[in-house]
Amino acid sequence: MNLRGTGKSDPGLKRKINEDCFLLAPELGLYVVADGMGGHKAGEVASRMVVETMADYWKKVRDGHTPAFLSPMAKGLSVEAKHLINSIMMSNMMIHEVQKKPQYHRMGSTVSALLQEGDRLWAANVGDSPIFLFDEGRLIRVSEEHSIEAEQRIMGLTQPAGASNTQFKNILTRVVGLSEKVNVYVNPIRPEPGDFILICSDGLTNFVPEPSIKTILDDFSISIQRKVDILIDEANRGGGGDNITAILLQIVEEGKWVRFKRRLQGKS
Amino acid sequence: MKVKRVFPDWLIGVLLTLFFLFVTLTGVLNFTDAIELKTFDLRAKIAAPDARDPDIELVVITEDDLSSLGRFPWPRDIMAQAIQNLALSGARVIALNILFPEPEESAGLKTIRALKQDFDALGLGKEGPVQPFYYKLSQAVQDLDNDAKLRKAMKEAGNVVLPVYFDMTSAGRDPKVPGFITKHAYKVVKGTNQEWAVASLIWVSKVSPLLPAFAEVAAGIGHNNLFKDEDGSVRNQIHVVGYQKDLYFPSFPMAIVKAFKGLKDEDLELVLSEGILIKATPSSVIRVPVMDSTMRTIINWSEGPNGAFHQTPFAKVYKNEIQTSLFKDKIVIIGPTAPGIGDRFVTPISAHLPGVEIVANSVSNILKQSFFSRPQWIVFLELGVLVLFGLFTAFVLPRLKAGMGAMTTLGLFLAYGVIGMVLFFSQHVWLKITPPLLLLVVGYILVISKKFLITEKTKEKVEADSVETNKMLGLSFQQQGMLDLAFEKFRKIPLEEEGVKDLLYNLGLDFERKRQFSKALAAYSSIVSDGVNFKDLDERIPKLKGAEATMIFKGAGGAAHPGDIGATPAVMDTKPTLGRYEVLGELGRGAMGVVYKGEDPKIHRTVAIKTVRLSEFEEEMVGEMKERFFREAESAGLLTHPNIVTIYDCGEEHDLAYIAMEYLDGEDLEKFTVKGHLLPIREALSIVARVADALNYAHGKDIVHRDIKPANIMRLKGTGEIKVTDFGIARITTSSKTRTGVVLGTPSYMSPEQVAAKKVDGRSDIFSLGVVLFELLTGEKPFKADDITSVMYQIAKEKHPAPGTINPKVPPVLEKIIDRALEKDETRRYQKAGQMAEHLKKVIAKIDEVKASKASPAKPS
Repeated sequence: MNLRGTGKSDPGLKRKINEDCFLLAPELGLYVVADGMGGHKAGEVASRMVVETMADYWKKVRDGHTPAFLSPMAKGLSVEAKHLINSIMMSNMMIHEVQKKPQYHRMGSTVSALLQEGDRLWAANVGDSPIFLFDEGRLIRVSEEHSIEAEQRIMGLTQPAGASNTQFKNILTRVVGLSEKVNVYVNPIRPEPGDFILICSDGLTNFVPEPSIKTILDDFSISIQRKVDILIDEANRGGGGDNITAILLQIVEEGKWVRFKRRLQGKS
Repeated sequence: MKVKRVFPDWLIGVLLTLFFLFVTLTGVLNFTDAIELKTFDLRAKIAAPDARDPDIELVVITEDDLSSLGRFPWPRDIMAQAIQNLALSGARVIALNILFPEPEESAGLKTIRALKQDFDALGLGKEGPVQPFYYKLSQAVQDLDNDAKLRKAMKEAGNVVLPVYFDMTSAGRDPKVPGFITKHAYKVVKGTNQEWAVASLIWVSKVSPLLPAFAEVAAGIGHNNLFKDEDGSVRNQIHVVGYQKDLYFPSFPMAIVKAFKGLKDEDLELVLSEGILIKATPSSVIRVPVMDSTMRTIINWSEGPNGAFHQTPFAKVYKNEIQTSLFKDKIVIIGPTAPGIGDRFVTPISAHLPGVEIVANSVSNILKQSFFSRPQWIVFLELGVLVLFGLFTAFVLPRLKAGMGAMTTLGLFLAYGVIGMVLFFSQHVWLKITPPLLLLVVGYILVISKKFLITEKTKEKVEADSVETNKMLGLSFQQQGMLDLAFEKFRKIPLEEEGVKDLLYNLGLDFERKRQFSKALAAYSSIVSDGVNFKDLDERIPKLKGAEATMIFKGAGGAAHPGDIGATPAVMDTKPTLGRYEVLGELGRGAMGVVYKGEDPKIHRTVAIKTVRLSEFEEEMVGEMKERFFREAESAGLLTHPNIVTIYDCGEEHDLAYIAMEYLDGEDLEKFTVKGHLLPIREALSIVARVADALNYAHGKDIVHRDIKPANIMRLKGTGEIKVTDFGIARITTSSKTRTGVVLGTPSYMSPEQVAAKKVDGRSDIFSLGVVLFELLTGEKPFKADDITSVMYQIAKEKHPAPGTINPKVPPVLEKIIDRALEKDETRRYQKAGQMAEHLKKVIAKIDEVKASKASPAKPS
């Protein structure tokens, strides 16, 4: 399985600062979108720290300098998945450390990360930046949404249609950096060639309805670079009220020769 | 990281339960019994009734008796006299807790008997003259034969019960079964067909002798052997022992009861391993329960040693100084209590209870039918509870939280303990509480300590991790340029940890690169704080100290140029850095600070870094200054236009604020503002038009440049591209500089609004651009004077000269554009830079048109 991807970030129309940050690192097999928050420049710092810490962490993993686990890991996860969680925990610790400084007080970030491990992808997230799997016309959210609104929805507390509870929409229940520890959601997925994976900030999903996203992703005639451009343009056209970041990955069949070579090298 | 589960929690409970089951069922290693017996003693003592038994009277041989009647054993006629007295006073049973193994030794009796024998041998007959002598002789024999007297007293009383003692220590067996054993053994025995029941009895084969003369006249005989528990304490009475092959011999108390109740042999029914049934009356049956197949019966003690039974000193009885009613129809047990004679026993109620009291207790138990018993179901209850508690420790306890676990365990403990107490005190049922409770306690301790040990382990693990964590976090912080935080993290790692010194050393180098020498020193010092040199620190630290001193000196002398980041001392081979950038060299120096050429090492991007030394400003203004600086820089950073230089990053370090921007290889327009070096008109117009475009874009985003001047317009080498630089920064570098009290910068390009210190907008930039255009076209500034104030006055009040007067080549149309741009009143100026650009482009088009028409063959006129 191969991933071909592209990513783009845009401050949107209403905000001056782009507090989103993303990482597109095929050489690490790691794709991250982080949506920072916090006053002044703190949000920007936080999301950037998430991305840099994770990139740094995975460089070390790929170089064989495996970092130690910060806390006991759940059973049943592959080593890579544990490291994925650990890298997010580490970002959390670092941001938490920095946010003790007054100018960075209460800064934090969401993180939505995708890690490739052989034919499997690990989706991990904290916060409300969604990861979608687009599979033959279905747009499936493979990340958890850690916001009060989402949790109310899950608990069946949603108010009847018409009554808006948007005031809770943006209040997150889990954030990287706000407390000493963070609970990371991980989810293994096995997409097939032809599927897309979209990792984005809520600046995209809040301003582009899902059907539109589907339509854009479903159009075979557009390259993925163009798709990302269109998605961001659409979000801006829909108001652009927030920073918009999107990473779009396309699952492609790897060439027979490549696969053969990979098997020869004994990698899974 | 593998967590090996060598010893699962439930295994403790299961193993412990199996062990306890094994111990209690087999009795091997039975340590629980010792504890159980202690608890039993305690309970027995508490439960002991203190009411006196009215049926039993003790006649005790006390120390006083010894002193009044002489040393023990007394001549047996004393006992005979006492028995006579008792019989006369109407005692129902007289039990002598004294053994009579052999005839009384008396030298006189021997001599007299020998005399009598000799006399008989003489054959003188018993009549005639010798008769009185023979009578005297016979009388003497009779007088001296105390045994005979005692026998006579016993026989006359007819209700004397005697004990025998089975010799259990010496080997051998009685060659002939004494007749009294056969006579007084149980006659009705059931359960002899159960071999195990028979086999588990206590079997004896040798009896200490009892004078046949006494045995013949005894109303009852029973054994007075007592069987001690392992701890040496007497708790049981065994009411039957097996003698030799098939005789079952009763205990002394049993014999007393039998005599007291006047029972026949058939009225006693021995059921092996179950108990003894006594048909006291035709309608009532006393059941003497046993604990196990050894036929032990637990004694239910009365409060002793002196309280439970009424005692009468022997001497009183002997001298008949007693009320006759005292002994009427009672069981009288005679026995020694004086120290030195008779055995004393360790019992739950007393550590030295005389044997006679034990006998009395046993008898009283039977008469009152008050026993401690262990019904058959009790064993199942005990085992069930044991297993239950085992399951609890195995499967429930490990899953409970500490508090809940403790509460539940305590609850179970108390519940079982209370059940045990209730059964004991109200039902006289002995429930063995120790094994389950012990299991519970031991299990709890093991499970909890295991938990504790494991958590300790994980704690250790976390602590080991925390070295690792600190390393990781520190490295990441260092990587991201947050050196102070990195230092904080590294410092938390003990210096003995491997590689820590290297980490600190590298961090020190980083500090040096950032010219934070004191912090570098701190890092180095922490490395050598253990007194061991590391790498070149023995040289580096003194040098660094020197360098730090020089810096301070330079700073104090004010010799440093504002914004000078301070050259790294030559001795240091580290590249200086600013934020994430490595500083490669100086590009130039402005009023506020130095401009450096730098590189982002991560992406090999060359940048220009403008610095502002914050210490130039008043201390109280620095905060506001910085905020403004960054806000401006930020907003400038939002501009992406081909004619505006790109801002990458801004930050502060030490007392420097800096902005990293696109590095431009080119020159600014200043040199084209001098006469003789003027650009061609078309070229000048094209440049200004592009600048106007850029301004139009920026103004559209509400960003005003505020310092448009030729020095801020760059023309790139090769491509000739135009870039406007220093967007937004101008404001802080001019108006905020209060320290010298002078507005530095370039007033020549200021707009009237700026001069009047009014709020400015994009139209101010248009004015400045007009000045630039004027200058590019003419080589002269529109407003010029010797001093700044005059220039400002001119800007505010005086109209500029017509460009055409200076450079005749300037066409009138351009004059018009310049006039409009240089309107004092901003409302009459170009409102948008775009309009100006448009007009300029039209002029350019016109010029091109003219040129084209000139180039083409002239029309014939």
